[in-house]
Amino acid sequence: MSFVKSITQPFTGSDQALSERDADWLVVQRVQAGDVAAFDELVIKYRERIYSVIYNLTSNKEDSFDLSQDAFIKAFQSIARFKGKSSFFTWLYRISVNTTLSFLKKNRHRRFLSYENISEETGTSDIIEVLAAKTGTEKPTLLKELQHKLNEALQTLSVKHRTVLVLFEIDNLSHQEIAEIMNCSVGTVRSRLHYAKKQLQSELQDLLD
Amino acid sequence: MSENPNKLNLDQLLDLKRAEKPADDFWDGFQREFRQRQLQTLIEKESGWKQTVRMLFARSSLLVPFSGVVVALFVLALNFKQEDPLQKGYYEVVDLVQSNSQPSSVETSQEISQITPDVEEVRTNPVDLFPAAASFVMDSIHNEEPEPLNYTREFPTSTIPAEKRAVGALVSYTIARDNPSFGFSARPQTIGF
Repeated sequence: MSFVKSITQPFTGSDQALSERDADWLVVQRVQAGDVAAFDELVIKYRERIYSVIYNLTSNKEDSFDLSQDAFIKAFQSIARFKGKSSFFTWLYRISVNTTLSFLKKNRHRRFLSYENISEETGTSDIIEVLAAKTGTEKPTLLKELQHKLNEALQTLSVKHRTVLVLFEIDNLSHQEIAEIMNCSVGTVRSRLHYAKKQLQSELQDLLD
Repeated sequence: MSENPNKLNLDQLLDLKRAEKPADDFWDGFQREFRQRQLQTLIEKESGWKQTVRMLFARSSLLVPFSGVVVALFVLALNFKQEDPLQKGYYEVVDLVQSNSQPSSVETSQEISQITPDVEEVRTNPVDLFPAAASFVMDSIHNEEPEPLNYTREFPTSTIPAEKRAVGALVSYTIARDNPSFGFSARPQTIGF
């Protein structure tokens, strides 16, 4: 029984996660007690991660801005009903992912991409420089090209496969966390992830080993 | 690191995706927009029916007339739906009006119409005699106002079927007299007979 409990509560696995969950819960309780300004602390803490997951799902920075705002407003409006059964982080992610999936479903026929800038401290800068030198292309131009091909390839994945891939590969969430957010089993997450990576590799075949 | 120097692996490509980030000043605008929307949400939350109810309960001067109207409508609705408890009183009033209007020596309706056409009208439709309005003054019991509110309510009779008008007036009058409840007391003033 305790084993079952431990695998259904992924955020109690480490002291850090536990303390983070507790810290969030304290802030949530302040908001629930009427301290509206306390919600700012949660927005500041999670805005980059929420924006990132939404941007990686939509590949559109304007939509991501609006959807992140929507997600935080929805969380604020529903916070009185949040009972702390899951961590605030998981709950907020679920709201954000659901908001984004609804948007993508609604607008599936009129989508265009608009990209964020790639920050300088990317771990691939060395190899990009080598590639740029070999192909005789300027580094910024090569980066733009790679960014475009990668985002287009991501958009060819189904929404469910893209979500799993983004949450696992880019946002570094665990299988269990993803399962909780997407309301499915860990097995389903693994299988979707495997399929998504395979499809993405096939889409980017020209660029990959 | 990629085995082929001219090619990337998937992890390296996904690294590019992780590096796609908005500039630092982006978050100031994000936070400002969020606060505006949050404020808007709070204002919207206060509007609508909640605000109306809050306003009613915050101001006793509005609550009392509002309650009075609700109770009066409730009483009227009951009057139309149920067997009238004042049926007997109604017929007593009708009899009284008829006996006062009808000459005792008249034997038939034919003769009545010949002598006094007005009396014939009374006999065929006696309730038309009653303009049927009960007015009374409502005072709040708990409103802590030094002066009575002197709220006068006259029941409109145009929508009441003719045969129910007198009964409606009697019921209103009696309820007002006997039921100092629902947060106000009512002092009967007039009854429209």
